Amino acid sequence: MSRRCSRPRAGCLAALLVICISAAPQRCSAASAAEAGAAGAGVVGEPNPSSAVDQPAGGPLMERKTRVASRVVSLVPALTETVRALGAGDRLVGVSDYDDSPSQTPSLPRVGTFLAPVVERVLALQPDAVLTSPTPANENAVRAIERAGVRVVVIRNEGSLAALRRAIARVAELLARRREGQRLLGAIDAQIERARGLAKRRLQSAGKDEDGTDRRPRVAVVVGREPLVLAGPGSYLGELVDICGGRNIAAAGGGRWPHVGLEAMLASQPEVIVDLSMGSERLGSRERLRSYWGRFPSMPAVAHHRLYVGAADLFQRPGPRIGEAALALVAMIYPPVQS
Amino acid sequence: MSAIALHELSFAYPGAPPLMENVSLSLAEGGMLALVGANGSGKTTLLRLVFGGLRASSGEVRVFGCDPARSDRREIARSVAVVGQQPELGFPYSVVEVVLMGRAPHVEGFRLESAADLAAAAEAMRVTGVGHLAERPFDSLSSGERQRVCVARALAQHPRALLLDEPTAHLDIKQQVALYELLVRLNREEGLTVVSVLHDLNLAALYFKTVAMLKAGRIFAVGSPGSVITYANVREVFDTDVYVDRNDLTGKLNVLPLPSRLYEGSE
Amino acid sequence: MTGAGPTTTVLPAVQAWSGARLTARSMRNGLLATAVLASAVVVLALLFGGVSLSPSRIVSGIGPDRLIFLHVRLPRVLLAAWVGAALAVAGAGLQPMLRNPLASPDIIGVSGGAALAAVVSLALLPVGFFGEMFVPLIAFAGAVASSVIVYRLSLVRGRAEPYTQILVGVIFNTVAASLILVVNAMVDLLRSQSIVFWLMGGIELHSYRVLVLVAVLIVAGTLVLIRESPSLNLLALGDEGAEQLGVDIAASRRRVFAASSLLVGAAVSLTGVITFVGLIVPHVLRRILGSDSRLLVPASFFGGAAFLVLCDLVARVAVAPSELPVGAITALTGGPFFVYLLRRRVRPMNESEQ
Repeated sequence: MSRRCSRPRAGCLAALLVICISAAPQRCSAASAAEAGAAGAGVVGEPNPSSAVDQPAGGPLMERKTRVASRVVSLVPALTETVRALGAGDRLVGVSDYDDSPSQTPSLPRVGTFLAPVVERVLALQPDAVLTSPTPANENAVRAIERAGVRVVVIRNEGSLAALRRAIARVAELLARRREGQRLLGAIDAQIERARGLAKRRLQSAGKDEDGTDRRPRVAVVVGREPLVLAGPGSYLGELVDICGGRNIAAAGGGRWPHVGLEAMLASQPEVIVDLSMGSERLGSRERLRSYWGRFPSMPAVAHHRLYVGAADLFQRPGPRIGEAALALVAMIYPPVQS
Repeated sequence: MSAIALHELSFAYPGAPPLMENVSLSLAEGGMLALVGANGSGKTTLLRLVFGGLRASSGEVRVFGCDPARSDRREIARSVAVVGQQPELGFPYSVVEVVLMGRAPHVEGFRLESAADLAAAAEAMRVTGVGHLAERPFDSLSSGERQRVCVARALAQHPRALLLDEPTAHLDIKQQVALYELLVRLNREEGLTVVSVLHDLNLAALYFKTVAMLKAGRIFAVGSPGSVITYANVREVFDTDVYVDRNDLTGKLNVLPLPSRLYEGSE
Repeated sequence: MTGAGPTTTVLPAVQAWSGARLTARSMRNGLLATAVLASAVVVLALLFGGVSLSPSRIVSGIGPDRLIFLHVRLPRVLLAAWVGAALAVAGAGLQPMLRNPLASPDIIGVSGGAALAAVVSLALLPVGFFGEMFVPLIAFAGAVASSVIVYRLSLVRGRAEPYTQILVGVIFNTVAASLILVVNAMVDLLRSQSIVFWLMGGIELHSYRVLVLVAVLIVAGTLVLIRESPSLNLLALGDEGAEQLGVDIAASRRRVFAASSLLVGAAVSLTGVITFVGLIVPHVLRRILGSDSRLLVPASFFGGAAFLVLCDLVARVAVAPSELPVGAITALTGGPFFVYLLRRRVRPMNESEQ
């Protein structure tokens, strides 16, 4: 027996109404964008612009798409770094709450995070491009920003090195700094190759057997501790481990950021642990991490003090400093011999 | 016409032993019936079958000619009112709100209570003596007062028949007398049919014209109090020895337990 | 006294007992007051936020003010209003139906089912697969499915006992929450983030089309509950008591449960789980307006809208430039306020001051 049979007519009417509304084609957002899009350069400053900014006449959609971004809001710190590394840092008008690198201009307005952007503040800055990563968590916000006529550039950075290179290229194209982009990529590649070479040399000097015994140190890159998440082979960190001559203990399971049981990690006996789980530096965090891992002296990494904490910023932002990260990692896996 | 007519009425929950077996009973309009019997003998079940709360497994129930289980509930509610166990409201309602709930069968749809509804409530509260409590929260009353409010609610329904399930459970002797006198008066003056379940055999004998004694889901005896409440019947149905006599003053029955036997034998 | 004939006694001037029951005047005043309150709060919330807007610039279209107003401020406040109304009305219907003052939309299992459905879809489907209404539709489907399951499971001998319904609802919610944790543990970091965010509950930004859809559903559910409100009053007398007064309690329960599930499903599918609104608002209004559901249900519509819009406003401005989760605000404001009311023991009827 139908549960709503007591109000058949009203229920059917409501259902009909619902279907009509859902099926109606959505208003073209380009039209609304043309009539209300943000204009060009204005005064960068507080999110309550007092200067009157003209409404543009609005051009065809094609022209808008290829327009060079001149007022950029970046919701992802890695992308912020990329913009700066491409020499376009002056075009930034807003950054995410996680952008806390002290050396860079701290006075840029914060607009939330890529998981939860504060759309009002984003729009108040009147950007012409918003850089973000794809995540279901911010889809509603992204759509709202697009409905308001602001271009949102979703840079897919699933986590592999190739994706990272593509992201840098995409940002460079957006900013019309292709040349700088090529240069940056070249520099990164050079650093990675140098790291690779260093690793190879140090492994050879350690004496690798001819029959192919794998003498590479077993490495664990910890991204999260509770639950325990490691960098898998599909992630850029996993690739770096490989490039830097380490053996990723999470390689067997595959994937990018696998959840690994603590027992499995203990059983795999990592010789090097890089713990990035604390995020940015906080007072006492290093000590807490060390005491946490100190409970498991059965792991060679703990017994021989090959536990590296901190430097999370460098490793956790898949951006222009990835080459630096590679060099840092190779120093962790193969510490330079003090002679 | 008969107010309540039961014919070969039986009831059992599915898969359970029968609670009622082949009960036949007829009560004319304006009658006054007391239902007595040991606990579990089916008194409450009988009431439920009469107002339609339970559907009979077999047999017929007719209340003013209608089958309560198959008729529109509101239609039945306009004819039959029930005073059952005291409700635990759970939310604060005032006494007058509770009494006005009795008007629900007469209030169509969403409308608020009319002047006629208020008059019915006022009258009901007056005869039950709870008028002065009208604006008090129901939950703040004593159980005796609550019981009377429940009776008022049932009377506000303007029923043709009133069913009561142990209405005097929480009342002191004065209130018990007041209630039964009220019922007798309504029965006599307005022709209200009254059916009441009670435990007190004395009160049953005193106020009711007809008594039906139930045992194990069957009618053991029915008739005038004098013919039903006898030593033999009470012994059989209640497994208790009593002294039954006619009171010189009132001319009604007295029923007194014989204490010497209460403490002997197994319980 | 009985139906055998008209009363022959001369009636005294009939008392209205207007302080102790629902009259036309108190109904009108109560609805008016709550509607005005809701409107005032909505206007307030439209004017204030993390970014200060000027009405003149909104109208003239100069600067980003109009954009922010049309695409962020207005849809957000409208959604908060509708969702608050839906949750409060559902609570106002469920409390008398389950005869339990602690009943709230969260305990009938619907929000757990909606959340579980949304989380599973977030876990299984590729990132970026979603159209605008995909996750809300899945969540709504989950809400409907779980309400059917909970209802069926709570039938005892063909009747839905309130006690059983509460038990089954709570158990269902707990099981759903555990399954959500399991799913969350099995997915990768990125999806895990989005799952956690979905569970936190918040007033998301949706298009006007979605808002209209949800409004239709919420109005439908509210109308059903308004129609059932006389029966809700009678349910206080107990199942038997209500039945004796002519209520078809099985049908009434079914309708109230279905309408409440519709309301909660519509709300949760868009904002995730926001607790407390459905519990607090009917209670507070009951203290001020009395227990009569005929007023309480429609008044809860406006009261719930006002409450959630206000909480969302606080969430937006309290720690600007950041934003707090609105569920924390509802709990933090609703709880202590309710304790305060309990201690003051406000008389149930006070409409003569209106």
